[in-house]
Amino acid sequence: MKNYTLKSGTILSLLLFFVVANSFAQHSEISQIPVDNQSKFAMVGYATANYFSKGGDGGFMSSTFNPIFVYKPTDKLSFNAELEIVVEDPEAWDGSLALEFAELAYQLNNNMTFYAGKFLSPIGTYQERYHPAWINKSINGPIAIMNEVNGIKRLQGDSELGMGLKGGFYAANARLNYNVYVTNGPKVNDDGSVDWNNVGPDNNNSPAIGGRIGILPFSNSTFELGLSGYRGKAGDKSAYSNVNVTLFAFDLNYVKQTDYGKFGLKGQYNGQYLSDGTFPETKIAFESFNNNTSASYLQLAYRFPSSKFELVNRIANFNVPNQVTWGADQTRFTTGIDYWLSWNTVFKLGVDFANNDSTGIGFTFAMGL
Amino acid sequence: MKKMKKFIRIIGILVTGVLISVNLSSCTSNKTVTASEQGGAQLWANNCVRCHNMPPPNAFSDYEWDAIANHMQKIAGFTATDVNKVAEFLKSANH
Repeated sequence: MKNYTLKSGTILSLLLFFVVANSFAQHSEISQIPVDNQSKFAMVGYATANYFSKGGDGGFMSSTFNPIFVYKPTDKLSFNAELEIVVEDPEAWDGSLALEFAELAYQLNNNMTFYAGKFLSPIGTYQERYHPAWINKSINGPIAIMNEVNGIKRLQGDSELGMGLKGGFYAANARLNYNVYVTNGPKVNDDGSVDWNNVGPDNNNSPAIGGRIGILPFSNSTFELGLSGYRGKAGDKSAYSNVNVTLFAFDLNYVKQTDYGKFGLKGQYNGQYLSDGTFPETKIAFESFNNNTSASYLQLAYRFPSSKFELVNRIANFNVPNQVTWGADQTRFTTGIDYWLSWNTVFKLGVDFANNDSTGIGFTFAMGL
Repeated sequence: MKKMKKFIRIIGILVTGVLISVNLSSCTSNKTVTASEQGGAQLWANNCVRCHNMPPPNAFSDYEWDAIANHMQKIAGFTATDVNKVAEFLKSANH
């Protein structure tokens, strides 16, 4: 009952904010922008062909097609959705079709948009901004933030189901952006990991609340720092009912064009904390332990001046409690070279090293649509 | 745990270095135009490149640019005014 009241209260607060903010919009700049009664539509997205070989065991190919539909029927309304169609096992012609996101949005005023539906996880920046294969300069994603290998579980999901408010504003000479949202929240597994892709019905009638604020302190907008937070009940109504998950993330992005080429530095740190709990499928079944996990990456890209070649190096780190069975501490180094055929089409060749995993080599041909 | 501390320390050093370099670079930039006063061309040049290569204006039609700019506004957290400036610049450069 308490959870239900909390959920209703949170949702009502958001809707109330929606109404109040919209009333202010009557006098904002955006209400003065004329609508030309023409729907604005585009299909963008990306497509990839991938080859990856690890430990001399031969390679495998996969292919993805991710159409993104962006639709702006009026000046204030918009709908954006992405499908992901993947061929994973060519022998079995086994693939998958998923709805990555489907977000309806209403522009409340110059600085705020209300949105609802399934949206890309706003924790940090990697998932929301850099994960498309033609934007991610490396052959793979950073471990545990994007990539799951050797049983390692991710510390954030692809998408969330819920609603929120987001936008941007200026403070002095700095530009800020923000995002606050309410979602169904994740689910905790018997092995003490968190199922972040729990986008079905809410498993515990208790919403999770999250947010991110980013600051671009300089007028040329080349540098951004971000801080994200997320908290919610992860346990089901019956099992692990008192287990809460708290996540915070820190991200940075710096891009600098110089006479010597273009430099790009990106990084993110995710820290995941589960309140004390006992889980049957751990090495110490039914004993309590500090279930705290973290993942981070730092990537430096360098594009030669007036060249189609770009070098990419990334170091990623994953730390997990010794008591769990879903992965071990890992440091992963990925290096590669990209060749840009056009502004949105790239050949990527890279090598992936890890302290407790075989070396892999990968090739990706990616195209933005 | 030691590894994590070491990693965080490295990130800290890098962030400090980046802040210093950015601060130095901003000292030499055009100080007469604040971020909120920038036009569409400058906003386009400064912001798109933070995530991906800059698309040429003729990559999409006017209607497509309106829809795409709106999508980018949601992802990058622009104000509506700023994203409209970018869209208008791309459309004007498209003709």
